[in-house]
Amino acid sequence: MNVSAVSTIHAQPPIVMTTVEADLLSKLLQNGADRYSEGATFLAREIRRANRIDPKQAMGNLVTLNSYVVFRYGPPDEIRMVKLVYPGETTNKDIENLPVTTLVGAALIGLSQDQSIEWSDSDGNVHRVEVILVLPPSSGLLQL
Amino acid sequence: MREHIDSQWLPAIIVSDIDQKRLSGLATAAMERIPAVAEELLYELERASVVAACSIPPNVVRMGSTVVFKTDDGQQTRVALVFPGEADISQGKISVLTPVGAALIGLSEGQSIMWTTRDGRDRQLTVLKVEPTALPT
Repeated sequence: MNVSAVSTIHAQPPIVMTTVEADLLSKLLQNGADRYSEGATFLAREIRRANRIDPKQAMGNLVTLNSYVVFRYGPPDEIRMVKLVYPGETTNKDIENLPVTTLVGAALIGLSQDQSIEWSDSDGNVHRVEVILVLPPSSGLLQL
Repeated sequence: MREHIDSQWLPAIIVSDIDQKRLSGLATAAMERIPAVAEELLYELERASVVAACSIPPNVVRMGSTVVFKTDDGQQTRVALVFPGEADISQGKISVLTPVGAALIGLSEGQSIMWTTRDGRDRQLTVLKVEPTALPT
């Protein structure tokens, strides 16, 4: 693959992953059919640079797999709410499932509330996400 | 869009800058799925006085507050105001993305507000007591 074609991260905030999650995601990338996609390449880099912590130390405002995340994404400047998932989990009626192997999913994982990250894709377009709110993994988020 | 009760009857509410940002994001993101309550919450956030989180008076309902309120049918209820996903009615944790939750945010002790239940009835509640928040801000 052409390494120079992958996306470039601009502002690199410190990110955090639990040891368990970093391990799971590394295995996912080793076995995944789409491991050379832009998103998977981005994710691999994020796993490498993440500060690893014991799962017991993870704070509730940290974006992990199965977190519900409200974030600002641009361009266009829009607010989205997703559940961050393994690839292949289909979206249910309550919330959009965003695979961690997409560019935006890989950008979100490891961030905490109020952090933002910027990157440019292989076409040179700059993207930015800012985490507004992280809700813990839970069933029935919007079943009121 | 639902009709709002005449604005002269709306109590002045106070919201922290942090709650304002998080709740606006949440309500905007939830607009497609639960438009009625998301719109109500956004309306409250837009009309609220926004102050720094450290300046919120202790008797004002914010995220994480435990609130004792009475409704116009005489019932007295004690709930903690939480984000959706943390809500658990059996533990008295009520989501801010509910009609009552959206009505409670920003109220001070002694204030009353009208809200509309999901089955369309207009109700009134009065905040009796706000207990200190246990959640990190």
